[in-house]
Amino acid sequence: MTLLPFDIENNCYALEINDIIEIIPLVKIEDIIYANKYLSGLINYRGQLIPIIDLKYFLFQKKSKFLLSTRIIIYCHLLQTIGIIIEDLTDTIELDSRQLISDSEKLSGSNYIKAYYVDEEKTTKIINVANIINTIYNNK
Amino acid sequence: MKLSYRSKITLLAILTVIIPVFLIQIMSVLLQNRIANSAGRELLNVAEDNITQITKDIYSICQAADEMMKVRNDVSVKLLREKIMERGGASISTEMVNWQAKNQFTNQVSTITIPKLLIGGVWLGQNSDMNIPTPIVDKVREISGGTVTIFQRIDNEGNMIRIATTVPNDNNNRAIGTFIPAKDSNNVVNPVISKVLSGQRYEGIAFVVNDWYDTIYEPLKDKNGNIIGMLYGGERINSIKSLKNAIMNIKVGQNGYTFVLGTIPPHKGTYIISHKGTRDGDNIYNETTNSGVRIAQKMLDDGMKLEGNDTKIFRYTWKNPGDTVFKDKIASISYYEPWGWIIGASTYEDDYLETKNKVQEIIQDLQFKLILGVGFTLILVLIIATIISRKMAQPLNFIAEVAFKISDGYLGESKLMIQNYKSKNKLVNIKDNVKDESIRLMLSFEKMILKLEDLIRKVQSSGITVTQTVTQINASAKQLEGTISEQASLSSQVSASSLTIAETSQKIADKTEDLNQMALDTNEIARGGLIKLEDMKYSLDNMVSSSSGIYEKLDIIKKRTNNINNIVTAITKVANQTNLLSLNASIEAERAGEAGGGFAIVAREIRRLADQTSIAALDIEKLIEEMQKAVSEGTEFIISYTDENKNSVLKVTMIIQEIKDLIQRIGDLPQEVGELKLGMDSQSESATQISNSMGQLTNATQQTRDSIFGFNDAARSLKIAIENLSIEIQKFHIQENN
Repeated sequence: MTLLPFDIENNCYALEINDIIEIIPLVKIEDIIYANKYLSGLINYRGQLIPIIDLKYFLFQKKSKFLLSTRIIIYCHLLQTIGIIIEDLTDTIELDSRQLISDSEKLSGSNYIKAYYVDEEKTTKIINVANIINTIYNNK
Repeated sequence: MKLSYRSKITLLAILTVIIPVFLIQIMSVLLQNRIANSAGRELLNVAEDNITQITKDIYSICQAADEMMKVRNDVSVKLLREKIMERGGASISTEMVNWQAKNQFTNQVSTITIPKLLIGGVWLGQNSDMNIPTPIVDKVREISGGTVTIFQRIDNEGNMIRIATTVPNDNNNRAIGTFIPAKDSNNVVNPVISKVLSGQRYEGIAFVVNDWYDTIYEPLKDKNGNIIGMLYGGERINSIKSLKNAIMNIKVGQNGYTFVLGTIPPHKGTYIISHKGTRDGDNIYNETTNSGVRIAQKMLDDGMKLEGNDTKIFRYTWKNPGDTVFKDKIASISYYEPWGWIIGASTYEDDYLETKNKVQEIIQDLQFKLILGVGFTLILVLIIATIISRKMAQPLNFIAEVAFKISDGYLGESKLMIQNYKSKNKLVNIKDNVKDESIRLMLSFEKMILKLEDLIRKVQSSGITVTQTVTQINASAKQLEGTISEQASLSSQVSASSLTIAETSQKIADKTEDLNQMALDTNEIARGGLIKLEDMKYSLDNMVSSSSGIYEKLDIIKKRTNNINNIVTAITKVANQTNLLSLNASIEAERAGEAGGGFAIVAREIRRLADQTSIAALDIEKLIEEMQKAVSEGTEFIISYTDENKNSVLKVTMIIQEIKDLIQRIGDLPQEVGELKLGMDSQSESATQISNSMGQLTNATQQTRDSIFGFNDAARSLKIAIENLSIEIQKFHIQENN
């Protein structure tokens, strides 16, 4: 399987590639008035308005920097299409799914971590995007 | 007396009760004896009246009995004479008869021979037996009840012998043969005989045979009128039992009694009737009181002078047989002359004094009860006084406590105490003109505390202000002191400096000559320096123009490197796009599953390429950056170098000008040195003057400093005084919330 690794505040995270439709560069984001701060706004994605979540803000209440390597991942979960802003997204990891440690085994207690991937240097937390989307839609 | 208010009230209450009672007690003690004495006296008076009355009563009884007996005796004698007359009268016979004649007083018996006395010619015989009747006399006794006797005259002298009688002798026989002598042993004529011999009737008591009788004697005459004998009718006084009992049984007081004493010899001073008859016949004529007075004798002597039923009172001491001591007695006597009786009623004073003692006892009982009553009242008064005094003293004590608190300075606390007290005793809304003085006092205390608090608060705040002011004054004074000290030292320094200046000026003036020479030498050297400086200026001008050329070339390099930078940015952007593309390619490859495996590898390779491009771009960027930095530094160096050169040129130009001026001035120097010398001289003089003035100023400053020291001390003492005041005031704790 393929993961998209990235760093937030010196922590290693990764996304499963499965539900990702596309990765697009940072484009103009339309503001939504009185929205949650982790909701950066809306973008016009191929003629369709989709909400954009700032993952860094969602997890750490800090806004993502607008760098060249900062990108928007277009995600589709249960017919809901959203964009997620992620800093420093430049690489992929190939691995066997058996190398993953399920979160339920480590019991982090967080809904947003799906599993862990441990190599010699670091621990990568795999984010449960589906739960994040659910949280956002429930909060609406 | 240092007593508490409470004790005083209690004491007052107790005294109010005790003093009148004490006075009453004294009065009752004083009056007790008087009452008892007067009661005793009155009782004795009553006793006197009583015995006097009794005596008079007995006198009347005797009188009545006497009259009764007289009537009977009269009847007896008249009957006797009638019986004799009935029989033919009395006559003397020629026949002689012997009589054992017995003197009734001396009891001497002698045999006499006298003619028989005949009644109606019959001799009455010599019958001494009461059981054998004797004519005439027995008959008369039957009728009248009294005793009768027929006497026969023995001789011319008039001795009379009983020849027929109903009078008994000691043996209860007829007392015939006894005779009444015409004269007794003392040759005193017998009143009965003398009266009868003179032909008259005798009435009165007479000693008959062996006892006293109320009697009537009449002469007995023969036909010729010769007194041949006499007739007697009488009653033995003692034979009237009722009279004796009546007298004996009269009760006199409690233990008193009546008595009758005889006055006629031989029974003068003999008891005729005594107390309960125990001493009848005893002669008390010579018995004495404890002081040796023969009281019976006195009674007889005084009593016989009394007339009618007059009485006389005697007080004396008396001891009856069986009595152990003499007792005070009071007796009243009267004299019944017909019988020669001294009638007496006597009583013991003790009997009446007992009543007096009883009165005394009652008074003592009254006193005791009074004391008991007082005790009870005292306890009651004590309780009431305690309650009242506590009620009265409680607020006063409380106020005293508050006053102590105030004197200790706890004003707030004392105010609270009063407020608590008021609320506790429901006095909160009480007015100032309340009747209870203690509450009024308390209210005025409360007001006083409020005013005192206000005053203290004001004093405190004033104290704080004054303290602050004093502190400021102190600080200012210290500052001033410092300033003055500084000034003084400065003055001293100025003075010293002035002196130095004066000296130095003098020295300078002295050295100006040398200076003149030195100026000329300097002028020469300066001229040489000027030429060299002008050469230097020329070289510097050349350097400035060449460095400008370098600067222009460096600027060109800077612009070129900027262009390179743009190119690098473009490369970076392309690398980034490539990276993005490769990522999407990876996604697509994953989506394609196994079919996308090769595509994924291509994507990865592209991404690596992109990464390498990025790294190369980064390296170029770094190099360009370093170059730009070097060019910038070079540019800056050239700019600063050019500036410095320009500066140097300016400075050299200025120095050249200055040296030119210097040379000009050095030329003028000799003249100026002369002026300088003059100036220095005058300066030296002025400095000396300044030094002098400064000396004076130092003195003045010294004085000022002394004054400030004094002022400082005064301010310090003021501060201490204020602090003391504030300490004193702090002793008063006033409530903060007000």
